[in-house]
Amino acid sequence: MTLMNRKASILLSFVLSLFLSSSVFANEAISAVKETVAGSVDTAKTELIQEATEKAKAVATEAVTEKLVDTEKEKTPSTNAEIRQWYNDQVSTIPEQDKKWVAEGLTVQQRAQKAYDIRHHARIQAREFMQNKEEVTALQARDTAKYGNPDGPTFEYLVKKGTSKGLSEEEAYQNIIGSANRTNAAYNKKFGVKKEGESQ
Amino acid sequence: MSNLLSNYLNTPANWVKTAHAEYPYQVEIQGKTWQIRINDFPAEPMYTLLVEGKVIGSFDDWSSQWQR
Repeated sequence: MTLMNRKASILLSFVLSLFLSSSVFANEAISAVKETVAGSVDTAKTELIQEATEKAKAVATEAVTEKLVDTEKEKTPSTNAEIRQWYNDQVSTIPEQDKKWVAEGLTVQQRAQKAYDIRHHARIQAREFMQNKEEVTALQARDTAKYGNPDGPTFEYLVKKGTSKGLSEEEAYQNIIGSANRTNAAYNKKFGVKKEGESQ
Repeated sequence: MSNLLSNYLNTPANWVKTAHAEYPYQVEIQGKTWQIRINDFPAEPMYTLLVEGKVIGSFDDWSSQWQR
């Protein structure tokens, strides 16, 4: 091989290696661009999905809230007679619930506490429904004078009241479960206040 | 609601506040003492009307004929 040919061969090898290197580099660059583009598309997709989900959630929440408000407006009692009716509906569920508590193996004390809680919460809610706040204040004054508590008798008060009348603790608890659903039957009959499930 | 109680509820009255939490209102009408008792509402009716210590009847909503 002549000197000239050797030089040409070296040059060719150099150019070829340069080409191959740049080709590999170009492929890597293309792959990197592809990955970047794919990543950007994925990010954009995720953002769009998140945005759409958030909007759908907001619309659904607003619709549900409006529905709840409407339902609440329809159900909220305003006169005292309506409030008593509402209260009776709440406490009339106690006997059925008590059957479940028995099946679940709750003690008589636990059942009495649960029955008391239902009645007590209904009592508090009923007072929140009352339009005339002077009447609420009068009821609280009456309860304070009678029970030493503006929100009515406590659970402990009722147990003590039962035992002070000669009942055993268990009988006192049983009495609370029963009395939690006991309302003024004569009045209800007289004024047409019905318990849930009674025919109109 | 009985006719007797309705008659009382429809009789105009200016009730006077008392210091008694369970009997917060009282009025004298034609020489007779009317009293209002507050009950264990909502388990019981809100009010009971007594005239000369005798129960006339119970009701939930204050009469529009009565001032307090």
